[in-house]
Amino acid sequence: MIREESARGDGALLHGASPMTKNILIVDDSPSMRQLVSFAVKGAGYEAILAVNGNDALSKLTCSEVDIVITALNMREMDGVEFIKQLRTRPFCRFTPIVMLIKESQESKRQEGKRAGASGWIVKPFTPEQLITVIAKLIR
Amino acid sequence: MAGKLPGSAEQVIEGRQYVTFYLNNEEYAFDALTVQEIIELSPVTKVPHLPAFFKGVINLRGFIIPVIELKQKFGMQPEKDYKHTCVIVTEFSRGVMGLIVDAVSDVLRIPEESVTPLPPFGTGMDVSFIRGMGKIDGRLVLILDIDKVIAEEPSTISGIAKEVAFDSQPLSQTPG
Amino acid sequence: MENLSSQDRAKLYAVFSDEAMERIAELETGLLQLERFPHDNELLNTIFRAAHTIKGSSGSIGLGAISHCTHAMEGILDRMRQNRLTPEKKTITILLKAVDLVKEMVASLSSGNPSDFPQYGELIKAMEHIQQRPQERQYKIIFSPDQDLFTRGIDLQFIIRDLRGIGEILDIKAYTDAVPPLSEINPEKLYLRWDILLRTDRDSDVIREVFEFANGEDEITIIPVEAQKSAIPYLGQMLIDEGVIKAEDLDEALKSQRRLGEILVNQGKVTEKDIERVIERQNDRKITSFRHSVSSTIRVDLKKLDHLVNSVGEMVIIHSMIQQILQGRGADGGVSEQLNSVFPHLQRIGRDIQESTMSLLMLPVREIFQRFTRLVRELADIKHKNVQLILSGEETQLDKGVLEKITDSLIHLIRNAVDHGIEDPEERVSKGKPPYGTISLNSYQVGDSVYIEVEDDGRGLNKKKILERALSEGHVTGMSDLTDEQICNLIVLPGLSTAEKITDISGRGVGMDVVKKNIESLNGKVQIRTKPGAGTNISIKLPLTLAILDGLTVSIGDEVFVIPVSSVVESLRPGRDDVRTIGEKGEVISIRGEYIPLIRLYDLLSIPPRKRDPWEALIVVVQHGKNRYGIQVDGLLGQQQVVIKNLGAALPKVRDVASGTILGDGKVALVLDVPGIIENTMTITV
Repeated sequence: MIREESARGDGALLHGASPMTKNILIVDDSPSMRQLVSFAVKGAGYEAILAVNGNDALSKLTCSEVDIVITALNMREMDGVEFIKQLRTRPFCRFTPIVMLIKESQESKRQEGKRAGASGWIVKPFTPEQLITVIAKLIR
Repeated sequence: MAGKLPGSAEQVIEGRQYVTFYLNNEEYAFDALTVQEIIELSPVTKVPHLPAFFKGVINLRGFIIPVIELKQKFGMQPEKDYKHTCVIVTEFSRGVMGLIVDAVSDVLRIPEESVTPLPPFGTGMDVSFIRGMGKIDGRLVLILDIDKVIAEEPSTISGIAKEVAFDSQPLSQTPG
Repeated sequence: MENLSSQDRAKLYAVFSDEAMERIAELETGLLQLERFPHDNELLNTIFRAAHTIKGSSGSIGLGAISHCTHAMEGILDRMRQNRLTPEKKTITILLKAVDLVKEMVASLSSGNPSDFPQYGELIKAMEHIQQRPQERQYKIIFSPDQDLFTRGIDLQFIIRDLRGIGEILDIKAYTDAVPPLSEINPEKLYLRWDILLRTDRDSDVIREVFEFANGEDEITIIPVEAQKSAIPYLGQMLIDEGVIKAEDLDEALKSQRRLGEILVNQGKVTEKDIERVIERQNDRKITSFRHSVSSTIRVDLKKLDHLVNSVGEMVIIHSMIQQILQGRGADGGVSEQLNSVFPHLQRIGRDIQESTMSLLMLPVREIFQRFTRLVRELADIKHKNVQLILSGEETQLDKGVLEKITDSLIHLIRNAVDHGIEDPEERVSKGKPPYGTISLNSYQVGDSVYIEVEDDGRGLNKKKILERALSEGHVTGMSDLTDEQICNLIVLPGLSTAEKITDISGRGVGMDVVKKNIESLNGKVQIRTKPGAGTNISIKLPLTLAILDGLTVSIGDEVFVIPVSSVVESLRPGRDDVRTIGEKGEVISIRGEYIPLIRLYDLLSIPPRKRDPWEALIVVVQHGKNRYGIQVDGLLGQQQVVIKNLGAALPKVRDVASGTILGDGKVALVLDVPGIIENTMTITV
């Protein structure tokens, strides 16, 4: 299910989501990217929650509701690396897996992101299968 | 072998060996290869629920074997016990069995040429247990197939020997 | 090979066949064990050697197909014992199928063409395919993650999970040298590093991928490790391996090397005589050790054993005869008394010989139990159930004849347990049971009986339905007060057990009547206990030996019969008033207030008796199940040990008579089939 709305901030499970279904937070200011990723994860049985940028994500969600975060690195309003740093300061977000969407040429940015606390990455362009494989490495 | 008649010379002839015996003065024979031994009749233990010709079982050197009264099986007149009544112990497809006969006369060779198949009888009797007729010393001997003799259904042999003797002519070559 | 006469060839095949069957049994047992203990190198070696032996001997007498098949098996087994292939279930299943094929081929030795065995081609292909799989290797992975691994959202358990997905983790060693004292530990930091030993058929890139995100500043190191060889290689071999010298160089060098003995003699340190003497002793030791390694068992032709048993049997009879004679003599002074005092010794020795001989015919139940492991595995597979078979008491010994006769019944019981008793995994879990079912096969000896129990933790029997069914079939006339045990025993009644629909009523019963007959024909007993929802226990009690039993000799008319003492409760002569006739139930005898049915044996066996009336004859009271019956005979002649003998295969099967024995006077006496007699005259009444 795709939701543009953010959920209640009280840590309760999203309405309609079963306890077994994993929720994936997708952060990217490109709508087409958001759509691509959410289709991919939905096809694998995950629930997708979308945020348009870092601020949006930070203001709307608490990490207790999210099992894994997929984020772009180059975003206009808030830089991806900055977003990761801020996410990691939140108590519930310290151990949540974070996947970066990077371009081939962004090696140094990737290192930065890793140092900021990102778990893994995937290089664009990628197939849905590749993305799911990466996700499967990091969550159950 | 028990029961060998005194005075009969053993001729050196080609052909299979047969054990000949008497039932009510009629002479029959079995292929000697099927005969394990010949013994005196020892006390028979009756076994219930069996047809009359199954006399029971006897002790053969520690083994228990069943015995059949051959005359009874063939439906012949059970005349009084002969002095020389004995048991032909034979091994056939199902196991070891003893056949009670009046007397055993000899073990001799009958050349193949002297054995002829039974002439057909019009009576329709099942005579599959008779392998053929053998001629020795001018006597006619009915050669029996042990397996078929012991087959479940009692067979009737009475009168066959007489018919054969009556019907036979000097043995000639079987038509080719 | 072609020049052999067909007789010689037949002999050759017979010898080969004997040995091959033994190796095949080793193979099968070994493979089943291997499934449970895949790392047992001893076991792997044994299995390998068995296949190797068959390959060699079959090849040398020209049995190409068998040799080819075992060669393929050997290849797989060799890899396993070199740690290059994991003994996993799929592979073992194929190997077991190959064993079956070899079994078949050995059995039909006269025509050993592969074309006769349709599965041959496929199996060979499958085995070769396995061998072509990329070989497994071992790798040492040195993993030193950064301290912030956790705070990067990486969960180590997934790393382990992914490693397991590509191979087998043989060992993990953790290093704690970087762990600070307790007061300084930051729980969010990771202070450990690991060495992981992994066996996989993938290459190192795949391994690296698993650690892609977990890599620390120190990237992981992957080192291929050669499987441990069992012995430290010799210097020469190592030099060749390292490429320092060539194999030919080594050979040359070794040839020019002088023997130790020579060198010492030349040095004057020993004399030639000393050397010779010691070498002789070395040879002796070799011979002795060879002798020791020849097994402590010996194979015996069954016919020789049978002959021995027969002779022992006759000895028992002669002893009885002597005993009779001694008892018959009055006090005639000296001789009798001397004989009387010496004879018991003879009897004792005789009994000793008897027992030893009978024990020669005893085999441990292991012989048939082993077969069942395979059976359960395959049955469970077909039914998509998970069943484990637990064996205990496999050393318990049983007469070989008995063992052979109960095998079918046991297979039956086990099959029923798997098919109907054990529920499928979902049902079991929903009942709170473990998803795998357990069947335990126990054997133990108590006194002169051996018990074999088949117990399962499945559904149990539905007693209510069994009772209803029995009522409707007319086996039972009253509802009242049947104990649980009696209800259970109803499932062995014919009609109850042969109905198709019975499978969902009792869950058992297919062929149970046959099982019961089979066991009782061996003078044994079957007992069934069940707890609905929890499981069922079927217990079989068997006499230790088939061939000798205690018998009561009785007479009817002129005939003598033997009744096994084990069935007999007592014998008595009833009073006239104790004999009644009750409605449809027939004649009964009142004994201490209880009525037991009367069986006029002379009637049953069609023998003119000496005594017609029960109050003038003798009633032998026998026990059958929970009930007693009175068998009328003329009189009691005595009690003695009798040697059971078959009544001759040529005799058609007779009712009421189980077997025969030879009495002291040389005459044959028939041994009565008490259970059969009772069942023939009675229907179960409540």
